[in-house]
Amino acid sequence: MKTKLQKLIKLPYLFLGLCLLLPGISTFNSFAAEKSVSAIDLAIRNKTLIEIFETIESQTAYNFIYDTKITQDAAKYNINISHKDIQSVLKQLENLSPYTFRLYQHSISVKYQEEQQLILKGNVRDSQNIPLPGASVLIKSSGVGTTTDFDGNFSLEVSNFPVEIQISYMGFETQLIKLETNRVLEVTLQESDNALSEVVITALGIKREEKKLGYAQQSISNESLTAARPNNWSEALRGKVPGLNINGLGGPVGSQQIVLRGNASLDPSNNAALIVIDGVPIQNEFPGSGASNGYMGGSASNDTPVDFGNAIADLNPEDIASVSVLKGPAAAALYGYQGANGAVIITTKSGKKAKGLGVTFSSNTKIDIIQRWPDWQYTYGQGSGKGSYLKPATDENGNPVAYNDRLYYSYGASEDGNSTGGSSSAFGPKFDGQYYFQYDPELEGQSAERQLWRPYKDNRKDYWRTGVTHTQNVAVQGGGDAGNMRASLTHTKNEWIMPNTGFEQLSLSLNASHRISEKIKMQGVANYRNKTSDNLPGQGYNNHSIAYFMIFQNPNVNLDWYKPIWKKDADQLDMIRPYSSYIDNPYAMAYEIINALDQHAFTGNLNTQIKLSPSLELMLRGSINMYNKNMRQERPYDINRYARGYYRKTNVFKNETNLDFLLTYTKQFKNWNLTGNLGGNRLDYQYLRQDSWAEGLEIPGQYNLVNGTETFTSEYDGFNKVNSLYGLLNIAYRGYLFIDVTARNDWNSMLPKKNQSYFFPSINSGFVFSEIIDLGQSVSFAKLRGSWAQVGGAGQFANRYKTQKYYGRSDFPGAAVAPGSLYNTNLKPEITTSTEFGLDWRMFKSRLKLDLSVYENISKNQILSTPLPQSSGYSNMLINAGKVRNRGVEVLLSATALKSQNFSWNTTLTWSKNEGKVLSLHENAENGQLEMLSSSGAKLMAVEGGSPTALFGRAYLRNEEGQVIYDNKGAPKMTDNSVYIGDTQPKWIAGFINKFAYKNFDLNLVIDGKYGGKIYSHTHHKLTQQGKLKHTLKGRDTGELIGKGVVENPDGSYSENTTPLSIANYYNLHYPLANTEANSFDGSFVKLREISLGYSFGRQFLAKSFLTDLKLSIYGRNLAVISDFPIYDPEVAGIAGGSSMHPGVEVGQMPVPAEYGFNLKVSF
Amino acid sequence: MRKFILITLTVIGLNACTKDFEETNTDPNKLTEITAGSVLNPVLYELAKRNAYTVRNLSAPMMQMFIQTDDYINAPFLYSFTQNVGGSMWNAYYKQINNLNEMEQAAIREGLPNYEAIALSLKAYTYSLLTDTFGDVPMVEAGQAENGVFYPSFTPQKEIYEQIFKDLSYANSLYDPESPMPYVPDILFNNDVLHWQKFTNSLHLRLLLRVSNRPELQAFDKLKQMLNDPVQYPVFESNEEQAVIEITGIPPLLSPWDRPQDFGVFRYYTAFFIDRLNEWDDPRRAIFASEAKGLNNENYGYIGEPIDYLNESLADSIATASGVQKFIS
Repeated sequence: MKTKLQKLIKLPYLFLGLCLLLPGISTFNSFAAEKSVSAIDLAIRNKTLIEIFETIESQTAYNFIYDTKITQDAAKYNINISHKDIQSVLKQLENLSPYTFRLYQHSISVKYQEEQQLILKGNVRDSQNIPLPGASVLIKSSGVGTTTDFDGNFSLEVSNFPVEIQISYMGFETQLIKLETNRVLEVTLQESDNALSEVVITALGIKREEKKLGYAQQSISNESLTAARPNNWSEALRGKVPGLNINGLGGPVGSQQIVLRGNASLDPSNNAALIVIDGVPIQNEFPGSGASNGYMGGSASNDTPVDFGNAIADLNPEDIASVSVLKGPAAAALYGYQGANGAVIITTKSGKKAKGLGVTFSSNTKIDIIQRWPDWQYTYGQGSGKGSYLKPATDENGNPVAYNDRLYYSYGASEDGNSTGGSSSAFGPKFDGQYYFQYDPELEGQSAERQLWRPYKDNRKDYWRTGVTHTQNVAVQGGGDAGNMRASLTHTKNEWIMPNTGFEQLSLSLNASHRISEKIKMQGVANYRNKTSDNLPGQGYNNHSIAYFMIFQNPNVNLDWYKPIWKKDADQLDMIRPYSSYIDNPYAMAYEIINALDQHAFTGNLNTQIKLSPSLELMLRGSINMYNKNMRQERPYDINRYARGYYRKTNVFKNETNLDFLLTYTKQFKNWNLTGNLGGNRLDYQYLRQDSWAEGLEIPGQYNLVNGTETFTSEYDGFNKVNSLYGLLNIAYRGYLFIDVTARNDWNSMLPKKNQSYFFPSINSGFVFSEIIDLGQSVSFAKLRGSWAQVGGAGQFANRYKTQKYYGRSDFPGAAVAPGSLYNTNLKPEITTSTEFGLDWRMFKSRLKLDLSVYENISKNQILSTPLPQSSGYSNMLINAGKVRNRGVEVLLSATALKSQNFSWNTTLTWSKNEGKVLSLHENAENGQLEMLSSSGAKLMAVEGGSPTALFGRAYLRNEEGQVIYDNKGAPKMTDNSVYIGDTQPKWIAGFINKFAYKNFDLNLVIDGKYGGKIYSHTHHKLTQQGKLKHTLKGRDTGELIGKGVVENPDGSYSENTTPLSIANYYNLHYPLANTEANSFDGSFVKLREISLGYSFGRQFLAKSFLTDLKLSIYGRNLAVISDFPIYDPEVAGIAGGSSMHPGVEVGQMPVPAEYGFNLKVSF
Repeated sequence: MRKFILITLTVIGLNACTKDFEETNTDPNKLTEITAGSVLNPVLYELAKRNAYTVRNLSAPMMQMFIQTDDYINAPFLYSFTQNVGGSMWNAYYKQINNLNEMEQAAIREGLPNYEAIALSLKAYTYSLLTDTFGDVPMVEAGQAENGVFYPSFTPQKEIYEQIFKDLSYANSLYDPESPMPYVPDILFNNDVLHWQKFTNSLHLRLLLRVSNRPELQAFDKLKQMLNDPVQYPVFESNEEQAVIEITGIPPLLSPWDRPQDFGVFRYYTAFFIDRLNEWDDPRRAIFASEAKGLNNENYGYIGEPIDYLNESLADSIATASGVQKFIS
């Protein structure tokens, strides 16, 4: 009866209050108090709750109060209780049923568990217990769902139970779980055999399923960076990513620039991809030594450029978890002004729960051996072979003398003739067992007796040594539910192939994350690197660069003669330079001409993720990228470029601060899934460079500014600020159609006020058509991608300070001079528009995968320097001009060719082709040409309709039939103007990557190559002109050669050239510096890039020890090269000019070694 | 709603943050204004340097005075000129004209007539070098890039000379020994106003002499007028007063080439030049030239290099012709 009365109460949760307000009811209940017993016995099977209530009411004085809904609840329960009090009984009932019970005196109110308890909570992990962020959790019946957060947690509103929950994640088997009642779901997803996709890192560090992307992206694992570890980790990207090209310098530090999809900018130093480390964009500037050109230092410097490293080179590959390459502007649109050249996103390792102590130790030893040398001749010795250095053509009796008998040698004038020891050429006499007066290292002059005329065949090779690099890394990691941490310490010591050069680096890396509360997670990354070098080699072609010496060394000169460096009793004053005053001592280049480096670099960020609501998350991040670089350059007395020594000290402090926020909103509808991001960034960039130098040293060998005969200082400081605001909306429809829309606005301090703000949008879409069209059993996945994006920027940061007039420094005290570059108050942002389509096609359970992209990028309004006639008052002006189009195709074909219990073979083929075209230049471009770079005999020139990477220079003058025209003296004519020689970029690039696994062994093999592309070789010009390459042996018997070509007759017809030239003149006139055509070569090559063989000890073996993992591997890099390029390496170019590394212009190349290494990795 | 507030706040915040952009984009290492004395020394040095280059690389070999037979890049002088042979000269002179325009404006702004007069005189000198080399060159529209004139038209040589004379006369009238030259001492005349005035007038005389064959410019009348009035037109009176920049070897007054002694490296007097001096028994030979050397370094007297030395070499007994003395002063 009473229970019926209570049925009228509709709002059970109010009932307690009503009880208090209505004393009548409680009085009413108290009538039954006497019936109360302390112990209850229940043995109930398959009864409804109401029936259970009635049983209890019958045994006790307690009354249950509930509403009608409970009477309709048909759920049946079993309960077995003996001799328990009412509290225990109610507790058990609470556990069983979705209701709560409140006891007040003798009344028990029944109500539904509180509303939040209708929220289903859970966690999704993989089989290794690693949380899966972004997994989809869906209520099957309603289609309502959510995704898991960064810890794999989710919560989902459920209207009633039972409910069927579907949990899915790309690459994992989907699970269906039926829940009768609410409980915390702990879901472990199993990896699907048919792995279609993976989570990849996209712009701003947002993790996405690859399936959902509408643009080309490629991930490179840590393993492929460290399996065959090079000095600079980015070297390991070669051949593995279609569309990716690397410009490198060689040398111990080996700075590199990564170029994606061709050169879009006519400013050759503005084509490198953006580098992002842990979500933070890094300006990859290249602070060199001051010399602006690889050819004789350039106009403003006597020195030779030195590669002191750039930001990429410093990174420690052991700390890199993965590298994600975002190839086009569409992928990098969220990076706005920095995204035009694509982006390389580096994620460093974070800690995770590990077996054992979580310690990993790895040790790597690598040796470098030079295997490829220019084809030097060692048949003929020093001598200019012309003019008065040639004995008369007839003897005293008037009989002709054979050419080779007319040649003689004499170091210093002697009875044999005038001195020929000053010549840098090797057109002298043949090594034929004869004796001449030569240099004597004991006498430091002409030998007392004639010495055997002989070649020293290793007098270049012996200079170099075997390079050795040792790397040790210890990493400790661990983690739990609340957080994780990883600390890593790496030490690298490199002894490069040039004596007394190399570097040492200590890297410390710390990555920690912690969940501070249910809703807040913090993560910090700190990375410190100290790189030091006692000496780094000078690059390029200059008297005191080693590349210069390797050219100028003559076949008859013993390298050891140079070894003492200084003449007897003339330490630090008089250098051993027995031949030409232009040739500096090579051992001085190693031990006296010093380029030292001490760099402290710090990169770090602090990142907080706050869950504002189940669907709204806020990320706040602050980051710093900072380095302090101290560079010292010491130049002793008596070298060609500095008679009385020189000392330069350079300090660069750079600091780049980024402050970001990113708000993420996720909402799941029945068929739609929406994610919206809104972010902002503030960049503060500071670059402070101070150079102080001493010209002339009062005391030789003392390198400091106090000792300077005259000292100078200069400052180069730069500040940039950029504010950005961006939004990203991802729309997913039913798991097969994905659309991203982005928008970004930048405010850039570099531009004039009226143009500071600019906006760029992008859209991209992925359509998994295999989900809706039946493509047959064999096709496991098929997706079409399409994207359109616009990004813009203001070019390189060094373009700052171009919007008003400044007067610059002069060496004269109290002086300043007018600028040479005209300021521009109308600079506008550059615009790059990109369109891309792609296909992702996978067959046979994804064992065969084809990824295809075609793209077109058009860059216009480029900010570049255009020459003005000096009569206008200025020599150049920064303008917006030029329109460059790059079109290309990229193919990635990978297959699991074989797979069995013990053996597997994965193979990947990458192929890409890019074609650049200059659509227009500034209307004022002289002759429709824009010179982008000039070094030695080569120019990179943009011409309308031509390639943006075209090599120009003078060429042989030819008639209509292509024959070389000679003058009547037998000399080949050259064009007056620069003409097109070829494109420095290859026609295509390909890579062939293979991974074999047999039981515990694995074998990796990477072969890659380029087809096409011209390279101008200054080294070839010089070696040929000096008669030092084997091809110059032609004509040595007679001393004459006739150039193959024609002479123009007075009537305009042509007849064959028959006029001979003496060989020295022949090579001199056919291969002069200015003849770009004659010294340019096909840059095609095939390289055996990487081989590595590893062995992992099995579990059974490890079980007996404390180790959890043990792996040994050996590897080789650049083991073989097939190329027509006559010098060391067709890829490494050296610094051509300024801050740009251009592969088409070789100006003094250094040897590029093959590398052999051994790796040991232990975990415990 | 919260989101919209956040967006609004951020947009406002970011806009506010661009306020300091102007300061950020101001070069901290350079000047936005110069004084009337700022450019003078660099201009004097650069003009002299260019003149020295021209003699060494161009005038001497072209006029068959001395030639370069060989050097470390094995690029002997073969009369093979490229189209841009005069390019560096043109660029260097116009660059200094631009500096001199700046100097002139600064002098007017600061009310320092002596600097204005020096700027006008040096400009006249530079234009005379340009027009003597190239003929018609831009003058009226030159140096106007800031006003959008990127390709100035060429001014006829006659008008250039008329302007030069006008400027020199005006410059002479500007000199005022009472007015100070407050900036760093100049490397030519050490801020001596009278000396500068003499320079202006001596230059004026030289250029009048140069156009003396053109009656329409009435050069002789003007010459006469100037020489008859030494009070109004003071001129150089001795060798000591001539305009010579001394290369002290103390930076920045360094030799235009890397090392002073490199002036004569691989450079030999031509037969044409030495033969004339031999003919005249010129006493300056010993200062200009070294003696030709034999195979054993023996002296052969003054012998010039045949201009077509590739085909007609010296006698076999002679190793090198008379070389250019390594030091000229």
